[in-house]
Amino acid sequence: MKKFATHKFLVFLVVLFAATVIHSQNATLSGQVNALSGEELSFASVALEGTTLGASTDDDGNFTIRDIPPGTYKVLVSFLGYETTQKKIALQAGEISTLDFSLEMASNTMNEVVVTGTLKEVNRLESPVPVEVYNPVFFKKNPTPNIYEALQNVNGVRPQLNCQVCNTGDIHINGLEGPYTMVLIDGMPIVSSLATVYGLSGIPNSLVERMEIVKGPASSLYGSEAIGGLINIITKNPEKAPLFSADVMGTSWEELNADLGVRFNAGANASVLTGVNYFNYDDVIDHNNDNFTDVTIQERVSVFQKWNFKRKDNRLFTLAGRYYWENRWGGELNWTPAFRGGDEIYGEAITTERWEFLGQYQLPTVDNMMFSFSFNNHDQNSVYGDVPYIADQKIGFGQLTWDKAIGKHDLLIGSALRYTFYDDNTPATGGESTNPNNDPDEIWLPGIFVQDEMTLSPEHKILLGLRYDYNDAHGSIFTPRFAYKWSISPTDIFRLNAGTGFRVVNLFTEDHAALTGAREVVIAEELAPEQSYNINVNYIKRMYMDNGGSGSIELSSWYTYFTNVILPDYETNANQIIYDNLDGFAVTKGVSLNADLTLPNGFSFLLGGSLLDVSKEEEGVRERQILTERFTGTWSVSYKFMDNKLAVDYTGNVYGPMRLPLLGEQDLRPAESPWWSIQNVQLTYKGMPHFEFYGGVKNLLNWTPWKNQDQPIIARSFDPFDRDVEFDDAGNVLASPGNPNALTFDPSYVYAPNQGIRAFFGIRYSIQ
Amino acid sequence: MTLPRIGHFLLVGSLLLTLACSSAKEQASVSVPLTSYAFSERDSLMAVESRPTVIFLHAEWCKFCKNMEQTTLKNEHVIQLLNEEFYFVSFDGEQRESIAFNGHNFAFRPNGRSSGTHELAAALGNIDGTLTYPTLVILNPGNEIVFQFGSFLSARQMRSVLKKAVPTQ
Repeated sequence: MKKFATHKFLVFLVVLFAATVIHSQNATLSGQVNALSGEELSFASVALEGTTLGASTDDDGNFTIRDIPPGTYKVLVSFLGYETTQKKIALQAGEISTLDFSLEMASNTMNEVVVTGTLKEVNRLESPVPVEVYNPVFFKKNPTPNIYEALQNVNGVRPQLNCQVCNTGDIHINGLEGPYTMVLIDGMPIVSSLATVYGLSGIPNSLVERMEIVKGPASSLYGSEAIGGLINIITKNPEKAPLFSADVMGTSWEELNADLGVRFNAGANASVLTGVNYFNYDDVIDHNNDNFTDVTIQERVSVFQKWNFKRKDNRLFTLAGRYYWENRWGGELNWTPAFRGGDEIYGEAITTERWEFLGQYQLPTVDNMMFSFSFNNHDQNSVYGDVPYIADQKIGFGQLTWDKAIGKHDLLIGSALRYTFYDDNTPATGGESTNPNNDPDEIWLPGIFVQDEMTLSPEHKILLGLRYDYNDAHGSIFTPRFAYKWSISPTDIFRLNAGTGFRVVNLFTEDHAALTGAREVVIAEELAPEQSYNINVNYIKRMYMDNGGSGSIELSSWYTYFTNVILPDYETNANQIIYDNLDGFAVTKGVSLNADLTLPNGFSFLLGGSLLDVSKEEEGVRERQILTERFTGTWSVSYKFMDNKLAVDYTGNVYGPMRLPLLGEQDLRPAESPWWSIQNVQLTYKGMPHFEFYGGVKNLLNWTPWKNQDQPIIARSFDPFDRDVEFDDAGNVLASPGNPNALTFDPSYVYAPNQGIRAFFGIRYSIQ
Repeated sequence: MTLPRIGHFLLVGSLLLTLACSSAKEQASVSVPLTSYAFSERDSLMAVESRPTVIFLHAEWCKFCKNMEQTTLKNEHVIQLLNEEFYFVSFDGEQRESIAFNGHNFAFRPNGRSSGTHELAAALGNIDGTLTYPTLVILNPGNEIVFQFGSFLSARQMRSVLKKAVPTQ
């Protein structure tokens, strides 16, 4: 009996002991996990480092970890999208402890915020026409004051300086010159003719929400002129713009660029965005010692205002206006405005005053119907030495489009009317505006278009478009379009595009060389419109990595055949530029490769290269186009670190040799440009709220064209009015003791900017 | 009309086409496909078996969404969890069709000529006043939002989130 009792008692004791041991030895940890903003975080992981113990937070952010052996622990709390936080705690046997955590949001999130477009949202993946979309983030990698300079970062697109003295330029896409590129603002052709040469540097980057670039034939929406391609600048949406933003940048060349943006609400139904841009460069620098300014002195102001009106059913109504003023001069160092237009001291001075007005109104219909309209006025008062050029251009534009999806068909039907008025002081329009024989150019261009985007299956899409325009000088113009997109897999897309182009040339507004005064302009016969046929193929392969990284490779090839093209002939007579119709054909063809790679560790790479071949064939003789490279490449390498607070960008481009315009066989300047490259680095700091600081070095290699040749860039810069040049009766230059190589003053030999290495620094400030 | 010197172009063109065709063949097959439901299908299934819902909010133009579709949402462990424990809804935040959800009707709200946001995407995905893509939303069987995350999720991260969201018996 006793024995039994003892045994029972022993068991009881053991059980009791065991229970107290377990109970008294192990600790419990509980607590709450919050975001710094205060909200409770559910699903957060709480772990004790070095053990398998851990828990997840519940709906209220609470957690409890039981049965923790006594000891000192590192408690790690991690949650998606937040910085992992740790705390040390010493737990005694039997202790019930609480520990709360506040997690800081991690900035490294891989997502994309919705962008609102005012035009048909172009989707690169979806559209049968390959559209490249560039947002301000891309252009900030190498910050520039205006769109003209920003485009140097895009593969296949080259801003080409046309004028050594006045530094105006145009945009070449895939080797085709400026007038073949259509520049639109919000889908409207208000940057045509004069402005493609004189207005691009006046469009500040701060206006831009995004830029869409089509290389090759674009949709029927845009007409026949965009033979080389199309650049559509989408302006910012007042509803999404920051309340206040400022961006001020200066360089060691004393260039100053300032952008200001203010948004306010005008009543309950309208939001208004006002943007002001100011640029100034007034340092007379002559590093190449030719007694001419290296970089043109420039001052410009652009004021932009856009109104967004709230309407029933979210229908769209926007109105925008812009005023732009610019003064620039370049020339001999001792030039002052007193010498403007005179023949004592050479200077080229251009004053531009321009205003634009544009709007979009969605009709109150069930179907999506949109009326777009624009009007702009461009006044230019300029002198090239003693040659004045005074021009006035007005363009009015209205377009009505109707979007309708019926089954597999996405129809776009529309009509457009464009009115162009152009008057200048040259014989092309009958002389001065006060001249009784003055005959300004007036063109009405009405057109209609139909486009059908057919989704045959999820993999196959076909776009058929036809546009008919009536030009009162040239009659009917038909522009057919064909585009095909094959989505081979979710990561492979093949596209084929074909179309025609038709363009009426206006020498004076689009060819700057016609104005320099250095050469006489000869129009050998009546110039016919230019006509072209184009075909493009494009293949994109995307790659996705498990960790969120991604990359893509895009291969494109294009072929454009011109049955007529008006090309300037600099070579037949060194003192003339002869324009006539092409008695043969011209071809531009090429291949381009774009590759990009974004890694979650903060690295991103962009690489582009194009091989191009632009030539004309006349009477069996093939000739390469002047001022056109055979190879061009662009790149950018970016690295974000220190929790995305710091970023480094290394950008650059490289161009192969171009054939250059010489004055004759005795012109000693190189007939081809060397390989050249402009490279830049930038460091950006985003560690302070509202502020962003950026700075770096542009043109790291300090590359300038004049350093790479022993002959001066400008021929006979010491005699800009050709006073000591002797001519024969036919107008040809004669060699003389003071002019052994029979040259004339010639500033049109230009292929790259004269600006060397320079540092830049800027501050951005914005409040939402 | 004959187009001389088009030879190079054709050569490059056919090269691209060959490339395209070869990649068409190498399409990998996924062992078990991910089952995705429409909101209406989910509602009728809920009457049969109550489960949490996982909503993948995405947009056609969103690169990280495409990435998740090609990597995370093809991961067999993720697929298995989603198919067995949840109702998975892949929802294009810019789709046009109105959707009835939880007794309300949600419609597409345009904000441009052909852009806009679906009201349901805004209601489910709104985090601190903004909607980003991709966003992953988990609803409990009572249709309450228990989890929102507006960023790319790797398969590993997705699994850990899903495991925590599986209701404990």
